[in-house]
Amino acid sequence: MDSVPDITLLKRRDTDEWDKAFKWLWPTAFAVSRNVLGAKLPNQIEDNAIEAIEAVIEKVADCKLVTEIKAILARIAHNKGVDTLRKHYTIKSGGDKVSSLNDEKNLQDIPDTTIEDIDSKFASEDTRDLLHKVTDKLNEKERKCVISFYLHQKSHKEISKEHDIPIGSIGVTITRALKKMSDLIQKM
Amino acid sequence: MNDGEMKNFDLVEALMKRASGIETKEEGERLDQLIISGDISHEDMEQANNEVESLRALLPLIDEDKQAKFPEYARERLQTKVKETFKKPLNKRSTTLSFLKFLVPISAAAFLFLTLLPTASQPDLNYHYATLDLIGTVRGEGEKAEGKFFPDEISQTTFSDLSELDEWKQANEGGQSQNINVTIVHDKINGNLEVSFMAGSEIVEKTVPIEGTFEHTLKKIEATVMLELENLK
Repeated sequence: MDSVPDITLLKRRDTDEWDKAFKWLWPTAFAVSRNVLGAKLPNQIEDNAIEAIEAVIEKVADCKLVTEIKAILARIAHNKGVDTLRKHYTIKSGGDKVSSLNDEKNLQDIPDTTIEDIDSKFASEDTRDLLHKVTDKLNEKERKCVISFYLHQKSHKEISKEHDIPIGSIGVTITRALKKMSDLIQKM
Repeated sequence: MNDGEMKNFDLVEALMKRASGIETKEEGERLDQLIISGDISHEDMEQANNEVESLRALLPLIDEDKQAKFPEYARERLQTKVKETFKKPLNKRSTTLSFLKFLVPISAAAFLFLTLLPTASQPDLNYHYATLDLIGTVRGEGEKAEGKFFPDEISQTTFSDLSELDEWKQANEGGQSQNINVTIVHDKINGNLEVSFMAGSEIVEKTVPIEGTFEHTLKKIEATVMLELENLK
């Protein structure tokens, strides 16, 4: 696992620390971008992730703890991905008219504009420990399901198709994952 | 599951769907009825809401692809953005300190000379090192190296008495705008560093955890001090 950068050094523009930060942030930027763009614009995933990191650099000066950066990055990557989808399916000429019925359908499929702007309750050093525990407790299937459902607001059908998981098992997997997370939070 | 059977976790799950904007009309009506019915105490509701808030804040943090490798071609572009965003020139002494990584083992004299090199825009930081060892170390032949943090090349004073340490700090704090004295005290019992220096007319005291090598920790201390001094401007 990439080591966590030091926010004081980031604010001092320490090049080595920023290199560390890019590697630490990348898995989040990439995953969020892939979740938004994966099915429709897979060739834009990496660009979206890079642009999101570029945008989060401007926010670092306002962050007190390094964990805040990752939470902000996730929101930026999501929002940028949604914007990219909208641009892709919208013809600008003659107003923002939709060019065809197919595009209209695609526009409806685009997720909601933003992940709600939550002030991270986990912007503390203890978060690292909690995150390790959560990622240890959840298996990959549970993590994908709970993220896709609650964070990216995807239907069971979409989750089944994207992650190749039987549709009948998705509901129970989401509930189990949420319960595990809930138990860990209660122990904090 | 009927409303009466809805337990605490089910309530959390229902609220989670509402907060995420994915509840169905039927689920929404059922939750509304449950809330209106008064079957849930105010405390339970508050606890469930707090938990939902925590869960939602946690989700973006676990949304990552551990297999994804950072594309090196993006590094230059992002470093350029860092430079544009944090426009202040790099602290020259940071560069000096990177260089010091290799010099520390050579001699304390060279170290002190280099850290005191004048820079045009940044104040010079004069470090004064001490170790607080309240238990007391047996000195002489049998002196223990355990718990020692400062390299041997660094000139330092060891105190086992707090009032003596305070006197030493008072004597070494202060300095003028371009020449800041910074005292660094290694607290052996707590295993951290107490850093103090004058910022304007105020004495600033910071506790810095020991992380990694002496050079790395010193770099962090320097960044902390510079940030405090810049905040004064």
